[in-house]
Amino acid sequence: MGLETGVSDILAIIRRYAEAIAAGRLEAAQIKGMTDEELAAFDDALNAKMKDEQAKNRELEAGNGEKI
Amino acid sequence: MKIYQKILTLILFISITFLGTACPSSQKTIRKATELSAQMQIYGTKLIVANRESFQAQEITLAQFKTLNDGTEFYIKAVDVYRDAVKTAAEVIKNNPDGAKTTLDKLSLLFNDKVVDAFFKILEKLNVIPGANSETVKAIIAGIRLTILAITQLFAELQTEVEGGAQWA
Repeated sequence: MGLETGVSDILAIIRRYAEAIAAGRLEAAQIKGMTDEELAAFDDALNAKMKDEQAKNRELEAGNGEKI
Repeated sequence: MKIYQKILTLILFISITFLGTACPSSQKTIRKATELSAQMQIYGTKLIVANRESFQAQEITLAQFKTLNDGTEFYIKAVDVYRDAVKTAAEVIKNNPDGAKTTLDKLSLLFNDKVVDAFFKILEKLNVIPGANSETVKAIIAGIRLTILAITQLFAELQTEVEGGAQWA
């Protein structure tokens, strides 16, 4: 069992993570200009978003691979 | 993995120690801790979405996807503990400025015990995926390592700011 993974697939995974990190740094840069109150609200919003994305993963997992 | 853990621990200890002694305002330190909390959640969310896209692209199996989801769920709980600790630390420092360094030292230990540990638990789970293609696992580990290094960079930048005596806000 398990997928046959060639070099191109490995590179695809690494590239996906690298892009995610790069996108994360761009998003993180906007934090600097926020007031303390804006930052607190933003942090709370991020928490909700992170949990929402995790919930989507769990739904997909439960659906055994059905696309959302 | 142990080497990375030691490096992260050292950087965090140095950073927070400097924060407690050289930083002119403990409130600004809490600000920085909150910024890092937000950044950890940004990266965490990106990782969660990347895992989903990787599974939908059939780059990882369902079993591997579930294992990664277990890991990120643990990470989310750890971040929640850290966030609550930061808010508590802010209140403590506000009411007792003399206890700032002790509070921040405790915060740094909490971060290492909870959040960093969660990252390494993700790696441990990957090592026990049954029937996993070894190259696939190595690729995912490489991706997570990139994330850990990115956060290490964040703390290194923090240390540089403190050593340079730069303004925080």
